[in-house]
Amino acid sequence: MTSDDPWQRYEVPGSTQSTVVTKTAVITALLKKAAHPLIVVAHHADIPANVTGNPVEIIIRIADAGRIPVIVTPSTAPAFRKRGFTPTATLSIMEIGARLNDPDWSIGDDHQHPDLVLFLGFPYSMGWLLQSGLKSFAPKGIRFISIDQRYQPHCTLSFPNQSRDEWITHLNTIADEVGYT
Amino acid sequence: MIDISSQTKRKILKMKARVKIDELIGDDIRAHGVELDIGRIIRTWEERPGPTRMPGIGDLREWDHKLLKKYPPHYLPFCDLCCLCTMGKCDLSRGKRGACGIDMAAQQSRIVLLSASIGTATHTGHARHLLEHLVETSGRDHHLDIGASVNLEAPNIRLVTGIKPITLGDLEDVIDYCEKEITQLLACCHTGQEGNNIDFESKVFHAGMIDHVAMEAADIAQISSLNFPKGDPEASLVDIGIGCVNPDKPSILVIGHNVAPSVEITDYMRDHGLEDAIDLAGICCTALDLTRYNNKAKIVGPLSHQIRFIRYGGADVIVIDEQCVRTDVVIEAQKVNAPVIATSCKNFQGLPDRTRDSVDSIVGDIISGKSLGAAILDPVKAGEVAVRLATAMFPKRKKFRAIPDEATIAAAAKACGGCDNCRRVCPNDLPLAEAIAAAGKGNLSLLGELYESCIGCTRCEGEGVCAKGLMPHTMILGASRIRMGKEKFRVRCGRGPIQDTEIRAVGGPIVMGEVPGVLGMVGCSNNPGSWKDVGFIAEEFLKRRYIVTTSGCAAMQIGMYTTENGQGLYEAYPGTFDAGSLVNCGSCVSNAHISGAAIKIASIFARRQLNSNYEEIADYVHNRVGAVGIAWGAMSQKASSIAAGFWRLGIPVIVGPHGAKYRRMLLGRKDHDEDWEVIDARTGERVYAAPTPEHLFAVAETREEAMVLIPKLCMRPSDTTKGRSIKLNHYIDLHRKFFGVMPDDMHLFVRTTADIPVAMKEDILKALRQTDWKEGDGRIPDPTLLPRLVRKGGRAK
Ligand code: SF4
Ligand code: SF4
Ligand code: SF4
Repeated sequence: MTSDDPWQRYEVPGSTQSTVVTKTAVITALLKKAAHPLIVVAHHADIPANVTGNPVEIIIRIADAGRIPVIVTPSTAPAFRKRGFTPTATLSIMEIGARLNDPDWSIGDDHQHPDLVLFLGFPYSMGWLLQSGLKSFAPKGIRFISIDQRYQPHCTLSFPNQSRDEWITHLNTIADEVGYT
Repeated sequence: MIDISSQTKRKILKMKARVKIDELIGDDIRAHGVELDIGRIIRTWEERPGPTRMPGIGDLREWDHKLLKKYPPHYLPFCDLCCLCTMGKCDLSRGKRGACGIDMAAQQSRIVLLSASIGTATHTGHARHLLEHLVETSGRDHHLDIGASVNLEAPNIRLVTGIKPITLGDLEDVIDYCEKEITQLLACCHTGQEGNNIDFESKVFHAGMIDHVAMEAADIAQISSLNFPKGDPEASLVDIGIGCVNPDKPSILVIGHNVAPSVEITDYMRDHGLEDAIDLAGICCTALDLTRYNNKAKIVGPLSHQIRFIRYGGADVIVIDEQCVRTDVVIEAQKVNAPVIATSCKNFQGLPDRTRDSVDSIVGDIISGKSLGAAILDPVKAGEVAVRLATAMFPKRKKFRAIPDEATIAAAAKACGGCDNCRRVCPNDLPLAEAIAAAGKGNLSLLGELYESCIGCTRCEGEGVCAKGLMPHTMILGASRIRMGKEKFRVRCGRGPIQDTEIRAVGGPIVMGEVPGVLGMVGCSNNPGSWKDVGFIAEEFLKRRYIVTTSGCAAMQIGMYTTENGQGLYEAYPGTFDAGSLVNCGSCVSNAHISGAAIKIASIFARRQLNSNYEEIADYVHNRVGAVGIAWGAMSQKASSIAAGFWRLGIPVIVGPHGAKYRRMLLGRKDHDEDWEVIDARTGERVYAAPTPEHLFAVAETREEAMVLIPKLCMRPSDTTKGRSIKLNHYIDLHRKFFGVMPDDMHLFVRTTADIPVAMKEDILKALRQTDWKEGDGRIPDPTLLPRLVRKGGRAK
């Protein structure tokens, strides 16, 4: 079940749409190349405990391995703290969008505007709208990459629609690759 | 000679007048039956007019720009393209401009303006039609009476238009003004008009302000003419829920917002002794307003209950008026052999206009099956037709349903291939394939669990969605049919305005911050999850002694929620406008009483000039009245214009996740200290007042996020230390409850140690020491954004 049409069929993309990325090595290479990467996580990342492969745990591995700042939404923060990880900042989805659009805003130890942003855990339409806004209003040159389970059309790159198992495997591979220097 | 005394002259309003003289005798004239129509007489009232009487689209621009500087628009384009004129389509994404020169920001604001203008036009159109009907039935001179304890009867109208309405006829002038403004606002959306996004946004605010004027006119007209509850905190508790409609009786279902036909149905039933013989029930605001007239009537539920109740077979005849009516209502009604009567020229639904035909012929044609229904634009005739049809259709229909039983669902479900196509068109991304797979194995519980989160849109049943021809929404209903029959709750019918005495009693505690906040829980049923989330939010804040006001579909959903001990919220909490009370104002148009309450606090409690003095009153409300709107399931253009009316008053609004589709937020930046300065009106000094309130329009990702945002957005620069401490207590406590830790931004809101809630003092001080927090000097400003309000001796800096 991999495809590159929007998961919500009626949320059709506009004049341009995300390039589908199925090779995790592409994402890992961009992450390593980025001077100021950032990971943004919303609450769908926190999967119930009875399901194997929790994306929050994998994001923590990626963040630790790549020393990448992580912004989470308020409802997502407890899942990180529960695992002993303190996110760099907690902001709502729309606050994150407004800050990413501001060229003078910075985060992380280097106090620079991010040049690459990974998104994960977004309720589909909220992610779609946030990324649509960034496509038109964020400073030029930033790479936005959706690593959610469902294809998001408004980024630079996006995972395709995929099964849950495929998705978790892909996330784990990124974590492994980022950790391998 | 007609003499108007000088005292009367002072009180005269701008109005139309008709003078009838039976016999006129003069030196050179003798006449009988003389009638004079005077277009307008300009009268004034006790209070002198302020600077903005009947403001035009540019008159409050400066105020709007102040707000928009604090809360800049954040855009979420729903589409990269514009297709408004024949030079397009144009791609506006990534900094491109259209063939007319417009950019993406201005285009998004233009769409927001279109939405708000549609909403305002809809309420104004509703008000106009209702007023025409009420003038016909009660007379233009009908004296407006909305309660002995409500002397300030029309705060929005007086504030914006300078008119103090005394009769129904006075409201015609008010609506004339609204219609004029809507025309100008719509003109701004034309290609090659406004080009700046902030100026578009200012016009959005204007649409919102006009919307509240129109809503107020509609509601005080109907309260007064139809004798609805007049600010009564103990307005009747009425039945709500599908199970309240008796399947053993003929029934009439009314859907929409204009109560006139429902009133005529009630009157016909009363006149013919049929009140107990027929069940009269409604969906959406028509139902709420109907119960304000007839407390034996029942409410089926909010907007999302339309298809499910029709398919449930509960209606023997369906009467529709205007707004938020399913546009496939005739097709759905056919599935259960129920005729449809359309009563508004805004919503014919393809039915033949039978307004001039006899009742006998209309009823005969429908019963014989010759027609599916009729459009009848005379509410009295529609009332008689509806009642006679219900009686005649009841034995024929035998409550015929279009909902399958459990065995049929389980058998059909076996065909499901698990392709997820139905889920991929479901706006709530509901796990339909899993539920249907379980049903195929005989377990219908997963389907049943989706009942509360399904908004009844039927997109999953659209043409070509399921290759196997399955109907997921119908399957959800089938799995829930027993439960639907038992769905019974109670809701307090709309009380209308807030009494002046109530404002006097709580105005001080609200402005000081000692009542932690006033919530306006409004909006539709486009929830991201269960409708019970709306009641859940309300209960939490009632327990915390906020004043919870509500209206429309939100008011219904609060009623369809029970506490842990099985009590309804309207039964558990009083209906007074006071701390820890649940105040159902009524239908959509009753939202004007919520904004009206904020305006009344400025006028009655703080004695600020009201007449035509919008900017000053909005400045007062924004800086002092800790109110916040929550439209968790906002769906419509009307919801956007209602929100816009709150924005112009500086009152923040929170929406649920679907509200992001309004495509622009108004977000403050708490990390920009310079955005949060106010002028201290005592000295003219600019002082940092913290992000209070932080946002003007924000979407919350989850119910919990919304509940933490509410107390934060209730903080105001004028809070006393006691008030700020109470508000902080709720903010920090809810943050801990839902997110496990104290918020990371509380140092912004603690001005001095006196603001710190006593019970949390040590923890908070410890956390503050880890930030760059410095104790302030304890001076609480007399906050304003308007330099002209600096008092004598002070000078705006
Ligand atoms: S209104 Fe402007 S942007 Fe829209 S289609 Fe016409 S030219 Fe293009
Ligand atoms: S009817 Fe219910 S289940 Fe079907 S698409 Fe709409 S919300 Fe989803
Ligand atoms: S679209 Fe039809 S076949 Fe596919 S999952 Fe839904 S019900 Fe099953």
